[in-house]
Amino acid sequence: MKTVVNEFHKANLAVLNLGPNAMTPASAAYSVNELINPQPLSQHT
Amino acid sequence: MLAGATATSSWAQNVKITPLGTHPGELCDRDRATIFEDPTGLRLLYDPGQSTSGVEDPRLGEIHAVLLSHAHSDHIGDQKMKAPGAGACEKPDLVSAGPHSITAEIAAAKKAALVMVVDLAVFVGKKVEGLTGGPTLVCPLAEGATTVPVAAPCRSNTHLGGTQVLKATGAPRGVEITVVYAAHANSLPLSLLDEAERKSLAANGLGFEPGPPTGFVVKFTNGLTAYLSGDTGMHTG
Repeated sequence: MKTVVNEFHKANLAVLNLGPNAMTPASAAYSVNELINPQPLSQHT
Repeated sequence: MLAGATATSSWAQNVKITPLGTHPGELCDRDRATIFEDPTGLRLLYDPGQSTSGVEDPRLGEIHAVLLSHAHSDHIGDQKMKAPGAGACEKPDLVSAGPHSITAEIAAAKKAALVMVVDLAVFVGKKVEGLTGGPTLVCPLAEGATTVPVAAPCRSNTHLGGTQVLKATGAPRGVEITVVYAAHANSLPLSLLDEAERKSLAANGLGFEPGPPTGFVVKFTNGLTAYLSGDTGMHTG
């Protein structure tokens, strides 16, 4: 998540699964805030 | 499903995101399907799942490509809604979408490109062939991109890390879809397999996985880059 999605692709938006079988609320929050960390969009012309 | 974003508010051309849930206005147990519409008009359906009533569901409209993260029943769609809004949010009324799956039915009816890890694309492509009677070939490329709409359903040839570019007719650039890692499983619903194979696997308590589970990173033409995780546990890749 951090290497590919954040550092390489610099994602602006993340749509994650959420549920007890794979991604708990705590791990989802950590994933978004610390690993994926969506980047601000820069302005287009 | 959880969405997180950081964005400015002054984009002239936005990506339109439309969830196709079982019950409008609620986030329900079976909700997976989402449409992403690029400013160029290119429309992607992500994980068709079980929350539509089939190819006639009026919310689908034109679909240029179907992205499938993995083969689990609630994503490939071994079932579909009995009727729009049928049942309760926590337990909608579903009927079988076998033997082809909702993913294959929509791709066949909409003449869509299948974008997913190649092993899964070949499997779903075979299901599409069962509906159309024609081959599901690798999507044609010109200057590195497939122009949509395509003349017939086709499939990507993407492995993990691979990118399929789709470009709306006349658009100056395309949407880049990269297949990325997911920490999950990819077992098919046995109901989509031939009877002999189904019985053999079930008797041994086994399943079959057509390639690895995945997510996607989709770079739209306005610069928005969306991470669609599929189903995954937290991972450091």
